[in-house]
Amino acid sequence: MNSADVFAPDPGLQPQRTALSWTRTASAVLVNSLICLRSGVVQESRTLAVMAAVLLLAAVVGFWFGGLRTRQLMRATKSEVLVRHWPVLAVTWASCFAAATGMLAIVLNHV
Amino acid sequence: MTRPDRERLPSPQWRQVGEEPDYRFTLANERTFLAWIRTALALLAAGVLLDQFSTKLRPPELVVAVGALLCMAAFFVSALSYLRWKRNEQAMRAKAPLPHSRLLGLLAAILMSIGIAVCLLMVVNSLGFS
Repeated sequence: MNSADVFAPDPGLQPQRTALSWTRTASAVLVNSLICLRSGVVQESRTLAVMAAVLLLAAVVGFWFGGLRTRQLMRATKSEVLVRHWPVLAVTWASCFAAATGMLAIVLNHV
Repeated sequence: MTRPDRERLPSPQWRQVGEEPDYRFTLANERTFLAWIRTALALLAAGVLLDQFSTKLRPPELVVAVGALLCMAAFFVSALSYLRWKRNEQAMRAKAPLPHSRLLGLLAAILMSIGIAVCLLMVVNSLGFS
C-alpha cells in the first residue's frame, strides 16, 4: 500500500459518518416497507403485499451494502472512497418505488 | 489501483471527466444525497400513515389529497436527489462552483402548506365545525 494512499487521521470521522448514513437509509426503507406491508395485509391486496415485499428485500440489500461500505471505508485507502454509481442509482429507484407503493396503498384504502 | 469489480460495472462517462476531488467532499456529497433520500422516505411514511390512521379527520377528501401530495413529493424529492448528487459531483470534478438548487425552498413551501392544512383540519375537527 502506497503511503500517499492512506488517510490522514480524520477528526471529522468522515468514513464512519458516511457508512452509518447507508445503514440509516436502509432503516428508513425498512420502516416504509413495513407500513406498506401492513396496508397490503389489512386491505387484502396481493399486489400491494408483493410490492411491499420487494421493498423489504431492497431494505435487506441496503443493510448488506451498508456493511460492505463500512468495510470499504474502514480499509482506510483513498482508492475505495468513491462510491460506485450503481448503489446511488439503486437507492434512488428504491425510494421512487417506495413512493409508488405508498401511493397505491392510499388509493386502495379508498376504493 | 483499480478493483476488478469496478471494471465489471462501468461508471458513466461523466465520472471519468475532470479531477477526483478531495475525499471529504466526495463523502459529504454522498451523505447529503442519502439525507435527501431519507427526507423523501420520511415524507412518504407521513403521507401513508396520515391516510391510514387519521380516520376521524374530516373532510376525508382533503386528508387523501394531503397524503397523495406527500407521496408525490417523496417521488420527486427522490428523483431530484440523484440529479443533485450528480450535478454536485460534476461540479466538484470540474472545480466549478456548486450548482444552486431550488429544491430546499420548494420543499419548505410544500411542507409549510401541508403543516398549516393539517393543523387547520385538526383545529376545525376538534371544535366540531365539520
